[in-house]
Amino acid sequence: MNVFDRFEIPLHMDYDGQRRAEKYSKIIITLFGAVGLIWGYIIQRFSQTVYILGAGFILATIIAVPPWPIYRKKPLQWQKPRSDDAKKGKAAPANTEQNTNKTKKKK
Amino acid sequence: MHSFLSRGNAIIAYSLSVLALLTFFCFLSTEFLDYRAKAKISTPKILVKNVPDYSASRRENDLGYLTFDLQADLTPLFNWNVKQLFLYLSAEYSTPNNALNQVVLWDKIILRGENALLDFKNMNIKYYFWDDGHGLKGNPNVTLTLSWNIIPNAGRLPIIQSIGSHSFKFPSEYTTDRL
Amino acid sequence: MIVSSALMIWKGLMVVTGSESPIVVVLSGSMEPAFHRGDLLFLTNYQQEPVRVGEIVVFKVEGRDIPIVHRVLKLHEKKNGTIKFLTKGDNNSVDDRGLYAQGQLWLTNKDVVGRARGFLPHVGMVTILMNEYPKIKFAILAFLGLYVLVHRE
Repeated sequence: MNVFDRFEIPLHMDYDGQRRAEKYSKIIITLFGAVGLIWGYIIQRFSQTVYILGAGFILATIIAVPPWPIYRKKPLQWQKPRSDDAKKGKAAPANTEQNTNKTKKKK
Repeated sequence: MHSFLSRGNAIIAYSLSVLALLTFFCFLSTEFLDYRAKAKISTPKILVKNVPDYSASRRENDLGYLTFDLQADLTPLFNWNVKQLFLYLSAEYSTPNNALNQVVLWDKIILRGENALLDFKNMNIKYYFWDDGHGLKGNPNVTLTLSWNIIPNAGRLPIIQSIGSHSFKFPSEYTTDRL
Repeated sequence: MIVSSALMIWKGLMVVTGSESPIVVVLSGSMEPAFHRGDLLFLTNYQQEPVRVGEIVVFKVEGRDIPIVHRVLKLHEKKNGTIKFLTKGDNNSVDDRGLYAQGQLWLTNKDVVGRARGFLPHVGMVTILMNEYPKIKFAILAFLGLYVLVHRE
């Protein structure tokens, strides 16, 4: 990643983008699988079912694996660095919410 | 889902689970079908000889010889979960020596898409009909049956006997001249 | 945890199916076009169901480590129920007497590991690849190890 960062090509998805990418890939694969099963049953060829699922797999890979720009539309709104950060005691409680939120999503 | 690898991995894993599920549906859709069919078998020519069995004991054993006619339409047996049929014609009989003898005389592999409408006349058997001793001469009741083993894309491997078999008896004298 | 549950499932399957090896991977092309290398077979070995002609049996031969998957070609059963039988691969032109131990003409029940009852295609290809190219196995292990080390979650 470091190499790419140097050329300023953004290669990440934001959290919302990751969620959508997973959703799209599952929808595509499930849909192709279901259509493949019905089509394969109608023409009585299971190989066609497998091929259609394979097509769904390729389409899902193309759509959901590369970090397309549409998955970067909702970047995290980081809180501005606060000038009174230096003062202990006050800064800590104000930041907790943001911190827990971040760690949870990273999982 | 934050890197190429984890996204690719998730998609592969999900696709494989869907594939497994589809295969299971395919298996379910054919599991309860009836794979029986009719077959008509007859034997125009039957001989029995007594010659040394060099493939086994080297002792003289009874060697049966016959030709057969066979008619069966197995086209309806094929569906999207039948990859091939393994057809075999077996002779079943009992002798003083053995309570049960089963010998495959002929077999044939029919892949899906190949002609499954069988009509054979005066076919030679494919394997030697050796008895385990001298139980063929004059044997009054040898039953020929056609059976098939269904090889699916995924699923069970059932063996089904045809409806209709053919019983015959062997002559009570050995044939001495060459076949 | 995973290892022990896998072992328990395997032992459980052994009890349920009566076979010492309930799942086998087809390693040769001698049963083509029915079974190809890498196909998976599920076996049972119930003693109350005697072997019959046309069945696909998995058997072991003295002096050979790898069990063989072939079809029963002929069979003789004595009055007391003892069975001797001869096998042949669908794709082989001759019967298996050449494969048996020196001087062995027939197989008996004790040679049988199991009878093929179920079939799944290609699933066993992974084990074949790993056995034939040990480098793949080590590469996968190394990759997994690195992955665990680098991604701590």
